[in-house]
Amino acid sequence: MSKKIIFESSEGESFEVDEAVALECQTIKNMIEDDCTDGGIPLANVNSATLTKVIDYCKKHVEAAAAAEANAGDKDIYGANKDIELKTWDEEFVKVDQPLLFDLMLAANFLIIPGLLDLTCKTMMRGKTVLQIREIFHIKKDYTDAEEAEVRKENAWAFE
Amino acid sequence: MDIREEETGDGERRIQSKEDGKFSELTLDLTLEILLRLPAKSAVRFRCVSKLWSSITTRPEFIRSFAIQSSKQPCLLACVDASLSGKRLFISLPQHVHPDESDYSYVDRLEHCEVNALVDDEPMSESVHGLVCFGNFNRIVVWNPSMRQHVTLPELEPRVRYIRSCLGYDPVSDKYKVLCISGKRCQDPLVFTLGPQESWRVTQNSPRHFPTNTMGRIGICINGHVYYQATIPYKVDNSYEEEKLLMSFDVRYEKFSTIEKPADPTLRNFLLNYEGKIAWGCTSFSSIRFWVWGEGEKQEWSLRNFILPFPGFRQRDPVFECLLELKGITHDTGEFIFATMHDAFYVLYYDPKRERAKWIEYEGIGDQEFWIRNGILRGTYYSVDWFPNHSESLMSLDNVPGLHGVLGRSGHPG
Repeated sequence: MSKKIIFESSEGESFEVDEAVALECQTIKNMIEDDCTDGGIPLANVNSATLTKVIDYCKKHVEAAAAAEANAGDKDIYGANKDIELKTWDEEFVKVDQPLLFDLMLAANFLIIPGLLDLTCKTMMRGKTVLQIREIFHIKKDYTDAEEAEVRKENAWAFE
Repeated sequence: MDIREEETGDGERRIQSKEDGKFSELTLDLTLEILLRLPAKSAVRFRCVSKLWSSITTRPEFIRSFAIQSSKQPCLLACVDASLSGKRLFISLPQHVHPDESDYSYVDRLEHCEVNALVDDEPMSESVHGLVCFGNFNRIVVWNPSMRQHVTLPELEPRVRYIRSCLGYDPVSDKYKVLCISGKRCQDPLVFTLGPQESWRVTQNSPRHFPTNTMGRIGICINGHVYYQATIPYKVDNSYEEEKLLMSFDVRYEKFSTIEKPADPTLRNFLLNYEGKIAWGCTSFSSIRFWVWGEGEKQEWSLRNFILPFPGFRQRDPVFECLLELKGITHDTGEFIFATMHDAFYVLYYDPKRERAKWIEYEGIGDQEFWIRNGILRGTYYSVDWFPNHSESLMSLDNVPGLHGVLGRSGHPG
């Protein structure tokens, strides 16, 4: 039986996962290597809802990697791309509301899960306007109107 | 909305909002991660978000990291030369990924160059760290497609006849340099560093040589070295003979060295980057055959031959009925890239190790309607140059001396 790792969310809820799944997180990987995971890993800045999603993501990607390895031998020239299924799964995975997406991004950054960080950052930013970005991230406009107009003018092509 | 800003001890900026009763914080560290993952166009657009975002995305260290991040998702840049319509179109197609599956629809990033610049010019190098170099016998134009900027470099001093040039990038000093050699007269090559207050400099101690034109391109840049085929004239009795060989130019130290060509009569004027090593292509009809230099750190050529499951170089593919020609090898996965344009853009990726091929047709790019929509006159001559492994760069050419221009507008092909 594979080794289990226990995560504890900010609400104090425990989540038991396979070590292979936990290894998807670079931060946890380092902790496992340093042998300091006994008695569970408290994640004070990741809530249960987010942690559930993060674990789902890691599980899926571990399974997909194992499946890809198992299928590595089949040779179909002009064959279909096996990654499509995982890509579709990823797309569905991030169809969540903005606050959860934001929390997932924070968790991916904190736990260092490159694939999830990539996915959440891109999803977060896709198709957004400058105003929407300020609103989402609560960024105060520190340009004067004239300054902003100047920056826009300099980079006009990027707004087309 | 009640917004409070505070500076944390480590200089990170924390922005808190009480509007929704929860803190959402975007640390500087996470801001960087987000900005690094944007397409270049969005990264430039979001300079309007705040002074902080603008200062982050214009810093040299960020620009360097951005290029590295971008090279993880390389694209195949197609450049359509429609000289008679006075245009060049740049179309970036995601490498490997089918447009329907792409994170960003790169295919809609289509740039037009409608000014005379680049129109009479030929590509001089591959895409080097996000930049491409065009030129003709008299001038050299460096183009950053991601920033829609180009610069025609200052006239060469001393004058160089029949310019042959290529672009190099040194990852250690993070500098781009243009190497310029005369195709006619024996004179020392010149070098231009892309940066402020730079000018042409004459290199020292180069062997007398003439670069060979390789498929319209002179050189290929791999890991801080520019390689190109050349001939070296030498005197035998009262006449001159020529020796063909490979020149290597160290971009950082600006030093030349020579590499003997492999003893193979089928060598052709085609250089490749094979798994980070320079490779010299051979003529072969049913396989892709080339010599690789310096594998396993040995200073020698070793032969690679990959039998194709479909007809290769300049053969009509029986399944897809179009001409297939090797355009390059993907840097990340080592797949051969075959591309062609025939009513649409077709790209075939062949993985020689797994013997697997992926065929991608970019519908709506290259058909009749496409040309009309992009203002290219029917029946006017066009050719396509392919730049595999192109990545995006936020490098600004504004401060490079020369004749500047921001070209192009973007349009949507479909």
